[in-house]
Amino acid sequence: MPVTLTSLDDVKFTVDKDVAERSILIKNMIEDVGESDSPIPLPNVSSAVLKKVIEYCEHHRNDPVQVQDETDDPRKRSNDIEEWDMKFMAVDQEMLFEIILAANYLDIKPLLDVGCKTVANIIKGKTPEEIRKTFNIVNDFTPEEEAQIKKENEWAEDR
Amino acid sequence: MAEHISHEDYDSDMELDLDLYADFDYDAFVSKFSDVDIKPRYTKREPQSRSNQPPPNPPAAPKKQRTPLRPLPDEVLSAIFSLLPQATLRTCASLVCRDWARVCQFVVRRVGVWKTMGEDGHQELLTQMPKVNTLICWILQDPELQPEYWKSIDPNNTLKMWNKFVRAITKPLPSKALMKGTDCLVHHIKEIVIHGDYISYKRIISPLLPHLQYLRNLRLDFQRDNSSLDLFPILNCCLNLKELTVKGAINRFLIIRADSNDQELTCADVPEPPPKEELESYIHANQPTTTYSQQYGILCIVFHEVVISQRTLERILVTCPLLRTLKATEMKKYRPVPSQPGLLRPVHLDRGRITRLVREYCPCMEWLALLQSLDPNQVWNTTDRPIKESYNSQPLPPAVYEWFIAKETCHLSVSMEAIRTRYFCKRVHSILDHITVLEITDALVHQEAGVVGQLLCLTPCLEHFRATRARLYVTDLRFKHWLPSYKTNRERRIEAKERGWKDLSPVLQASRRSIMDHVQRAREGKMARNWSYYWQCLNLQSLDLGIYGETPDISRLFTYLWLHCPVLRNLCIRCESVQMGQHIEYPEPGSHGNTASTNSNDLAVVGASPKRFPNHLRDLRGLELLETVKIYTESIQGIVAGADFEFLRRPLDMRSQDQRQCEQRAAKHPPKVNKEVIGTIYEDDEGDDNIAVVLPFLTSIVFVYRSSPMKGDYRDVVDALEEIRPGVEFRFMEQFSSDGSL
Repeated sequence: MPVTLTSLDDVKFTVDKDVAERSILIKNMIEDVGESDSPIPLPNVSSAVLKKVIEYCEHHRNDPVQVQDETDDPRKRSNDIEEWDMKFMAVDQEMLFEIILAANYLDIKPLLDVGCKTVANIIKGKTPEEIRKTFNIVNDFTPEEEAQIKKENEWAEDR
Repeated sequence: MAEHISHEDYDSDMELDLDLYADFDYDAFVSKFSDVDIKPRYTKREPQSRSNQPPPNPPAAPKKQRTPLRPLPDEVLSAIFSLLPQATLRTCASLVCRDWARVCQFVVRRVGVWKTMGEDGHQELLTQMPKVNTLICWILQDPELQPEYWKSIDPNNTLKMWNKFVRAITKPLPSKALMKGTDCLVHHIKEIVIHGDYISYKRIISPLLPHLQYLRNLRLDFQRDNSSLDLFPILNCCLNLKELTVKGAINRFLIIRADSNDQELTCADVPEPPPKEELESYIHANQPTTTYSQQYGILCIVFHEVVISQRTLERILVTCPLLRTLKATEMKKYRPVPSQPGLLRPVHLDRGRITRLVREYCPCMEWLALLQSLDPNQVWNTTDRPIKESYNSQPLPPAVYEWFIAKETCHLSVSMEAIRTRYFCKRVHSILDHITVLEITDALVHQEAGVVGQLLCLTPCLEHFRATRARLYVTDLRFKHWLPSYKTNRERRIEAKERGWKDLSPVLQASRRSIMDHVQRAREGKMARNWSYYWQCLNLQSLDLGIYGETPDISRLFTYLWLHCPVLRNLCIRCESVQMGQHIEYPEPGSHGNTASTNSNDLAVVGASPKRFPNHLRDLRGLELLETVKIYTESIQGIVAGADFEFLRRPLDMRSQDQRQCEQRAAKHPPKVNKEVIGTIYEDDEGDDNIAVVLPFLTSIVFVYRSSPMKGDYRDVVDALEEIRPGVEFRFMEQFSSDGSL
């Protein structure tokens, strides 16, 4: 049975139920409301982003559901991204952030994971200035604060 | 940046650029190239304009500015940060903006160190404690002191100080300053490491235990404690514990008991020789397993050099359904058990029974390693002992279990002793093709080290390899013929450029396919299973290797790794000495007189001449994906200076155009370096380096040493290095514990 989703800018998307249910949020909504033809409003997601998210869900519609309960597995790494996902994530920073926010809102854990890994890979090997430039973040530190953080970090260490 | 429509827009853009990168020390940069004629278009900013003023305000910025991205919520940021190496968090992420710094607080590993020290030291530690999430304790030990000193410390006094400290950190705190559900300082701590010596485990950990319900990682390292440790009381107290590591000493017995009622701790599970009617084991193979009501969420249990009984192991398996790693090693040679003089340890475990339990109760298990000393004389060369038969009927001596092969990953721990046995060759050889993680626990005899290298020739899928005590002879490494498929870095770069690859390393892009093919072929068994003479592990990502030899050999190893392990990310090397930087070469004592007489005018020199060691670290450059480099060494020879790492210098492409131009100019007229101080600077051998930066993914370089001519003062070097390569962490750590096990 198809499900209709309505984006922030009132664009309607009709997708299969098993695609839509990749999102735990939508899955719960459908369960709560029951079978219904009325569209599901997603007021936090724009149509451009929703289109991308649906593309992802369609590609991964047959993936087994992850039973990854433990979020902080110390061995997880950022460089094991599938090739399709990597291409999927090759978008500009703004879209990348929007996809991550949408995945967070819609509760699509695998998409959120891939997004986080992509951002982590972008951060790696960059200086703070470069990170600010890449993500267009304003440096709101006073020099004192910055010195303080540097000092605190001196007594942190690796294993 | 967006396209520029008008001059004004362009100018305002550039202004913004400077705002964003006001951190960059323009003055220092310009003054460095003062011999070059530079007229900066934008005059330098007044220093005070930045220090007192609030940071630049985005709304005031010109309209051409990119709209700031919507900020990510904290939980997403911390998920991203948890994927980053600690060094990146410390040196980059936490310095980006306030939001990031705040979230980093929770992810950065902040260490508080407790040791026997004065009142002031403990007070200082207590003020730090609210931010600490890892506590390392040295009870009657001190890594910064020679063992002779800490042997003289009074244990009773230490215990008194320890109890006082524990009282302070377990004291209830005013509720408002704390996270929900926590009411004392200990609750913030995620990881505790306790190194103990001469003192009983119980007296140290007991006062803490009732407060450890939020602890995730516990590591106990008791060097000289002939005692026992009750496992399940710990698990009952630490409800959130994910990792437990207990390390005993090689020459003592640390007995892991299930709990204080455990009377079977020194019972032989498989008595030796086994009673005739019960050949398989002491616990009947079909005897039902005791069930327990309590279950634990722990993921990883590692026992190193401890005595553990079959029953305790079984209880762990039955009560910890999420367990992924269970390791227990007991590599002591056969020796009498203290309480039962007639009994020798290790006694053999019933592996068949454990295997069945793992299948039944621990579906997540990835790595099960129960290593026991295999004395070849006892097990393999005598035919009249029934123990041999029982070995052959059981899965495998070095803890390899066939059913793991079905998975993508296959973890294997093996002792050096086991590698040499015929049994290993027969049974394990067939699965070497699949091994992704290999750990070699012990290699004390030099002659065995060659086997380590040979083993890597048989493991095409290997991703992680650890053999810290291997002492591999680097000179024995055989290079593969220079096949056309092995391109030089230069060729790789040109190829990458032609194909328009930008973001990913050319090596990764160029090699990825061939490496995956290689791994796939191996998985499908299409690889010729010949004993080849060069390493097959093209997909190796982390390597932790003890080597035998000095710096030139390390250089050879780097080159070897570049050829055979091109996607290596984490490199850790343990070696005798590292030669780096400048040293004074004194003439031979015999020739001293001659030199003095010929140089009689220059007595100050007395034949001593400053020399530089060849810079072997530069050979790391081929390993383009390298993220972390750690070198454990007995001694760093030579005076290290920033110049030794000049090859890592990163051009700051984040500058405004003018700065970039002046850099280009500067590149044509390289800055003069005071050669008297630094000696000869190496010429860069590859002039073609259009690639922006060497080792672009590097996050940290760490040296851990025992002695060096710098007397532990590497601050200036580290400062210089931070200028050469901002965002990368450099550390020089002095450490006395030789195995670097911390």
